[in-house]
Amino acid sequence: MTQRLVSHLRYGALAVPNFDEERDFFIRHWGLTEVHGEDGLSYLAAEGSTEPFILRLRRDEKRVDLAGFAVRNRADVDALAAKLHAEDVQFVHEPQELTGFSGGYGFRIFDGDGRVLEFSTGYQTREARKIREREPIPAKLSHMVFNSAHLNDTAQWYVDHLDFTISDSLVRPDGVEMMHFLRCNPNHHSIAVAMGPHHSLHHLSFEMRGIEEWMRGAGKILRSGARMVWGPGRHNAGDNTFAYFLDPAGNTIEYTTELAMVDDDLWEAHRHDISELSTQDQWGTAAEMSELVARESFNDIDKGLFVAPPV
Amino acid sequence: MTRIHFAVDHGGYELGRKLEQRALDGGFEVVWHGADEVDPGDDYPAYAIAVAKAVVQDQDAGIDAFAVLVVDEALAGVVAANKVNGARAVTTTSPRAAATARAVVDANVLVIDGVAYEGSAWLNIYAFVTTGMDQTVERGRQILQIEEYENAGTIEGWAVQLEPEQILRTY
Repeated sequence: MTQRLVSHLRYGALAVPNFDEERDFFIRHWGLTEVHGEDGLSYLAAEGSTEPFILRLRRDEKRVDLAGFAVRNRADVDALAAKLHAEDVQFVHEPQELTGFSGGYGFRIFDGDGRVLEFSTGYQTREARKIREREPIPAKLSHMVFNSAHLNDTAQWYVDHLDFTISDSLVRPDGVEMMHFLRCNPNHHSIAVAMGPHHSLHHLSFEMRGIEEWMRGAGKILRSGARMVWGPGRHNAGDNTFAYFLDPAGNTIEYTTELAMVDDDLWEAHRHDISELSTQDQWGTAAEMSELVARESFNDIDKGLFVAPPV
Repeated sequence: MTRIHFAVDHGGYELGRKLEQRALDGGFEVVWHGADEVDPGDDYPAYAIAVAKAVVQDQDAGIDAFAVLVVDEALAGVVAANKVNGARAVTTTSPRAAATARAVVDANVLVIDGVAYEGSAWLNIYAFVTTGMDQTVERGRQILQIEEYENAGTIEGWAVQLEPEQILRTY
């Protein structure tokens, strides 16, 4: 069994120019709870998650601030930092006591393309509650997906440096890879990388309690006026249901449920041909994954590459 | 605690008040949207809309809520209530039908004829508010298709349906 120093995905952090509108959308409609706010900074938690927050919004030019991962303990944080140093990975800062909301101990680096990643442990967790039946709010953060202009290099970076494993891939009929799904624990994927015209956020995905709550939530978001860009459907890679929407800043966000769990030792990675409709949507009811649909999630070019966010 | 929104017109006032009492006795939280007393000849649409809006608003806010509309002609009430975005109104004459409406389409408004027998009407309501949606992806998907049409005018994804000028973005 692969021993990984990264235990799970903690949170995504985004900077958006229309901060107030975005914050209002995530609280009022998407169903997150603001647990801490500063001027131009909002920490949003999911009621079903012990993570102190799963999304951080910051007022600034649009960019991906960072992806936050959890590490089990301080020894693992130090071990991971030493490993990454030995591999000449570029650091934003060394392991240190984190002074921001929820604290902890950790460090930040740039990934191979310049995205900022944080690895932390010992932070203040939050008391989670069980999401009630029919309660249309996210239980937790499911996964984060990036667009990359050089997909295979980006995915390989996560394999080489963080010991992530490719669970499944989407390929074109001619064999060219279009997307890799990567896991760091039994969840089928915690991050994924999609072939795009540039580096950017593809989407953030939020796990709902179950089918009924997923349906209620998606209905609620439709009523809020947000555009559903793709769905409802059920993926083959990951077996999860999906409904993708555009948030006020133009980022794609997803309600999902029933993401597959895989056995690390037994799971064989598949290569799904995207020209077969059933690869993308087992139900065959969502629109075909056309170029048009794909373009909806290209997003704006990430302005945050190799630039650390101020917080 | 499950909340039941009640609304009635003149034809449903008497039965509606009795059902309201049964709901209170049964431990439900009740919100009354009907007139304070019988208002002879009042029109049902305003009540249908009010009670349907109340239940959708509650459900979107994560409150476990249902609506019961008791009117002179239940079928007319169904038509009016279903004009509210997110309302899925039905009328049933058996508890089994009420449970089925919950299971297959996650119905949230139950409309009852004002002349219905009180005991039977209550059994319909009770079955309605205590039955969940079938936990199958098909039912969720089908309801979302209805809601997508209701909000976007399309089924099977917006993007392929949009006019070119609506999807023009510069990369």
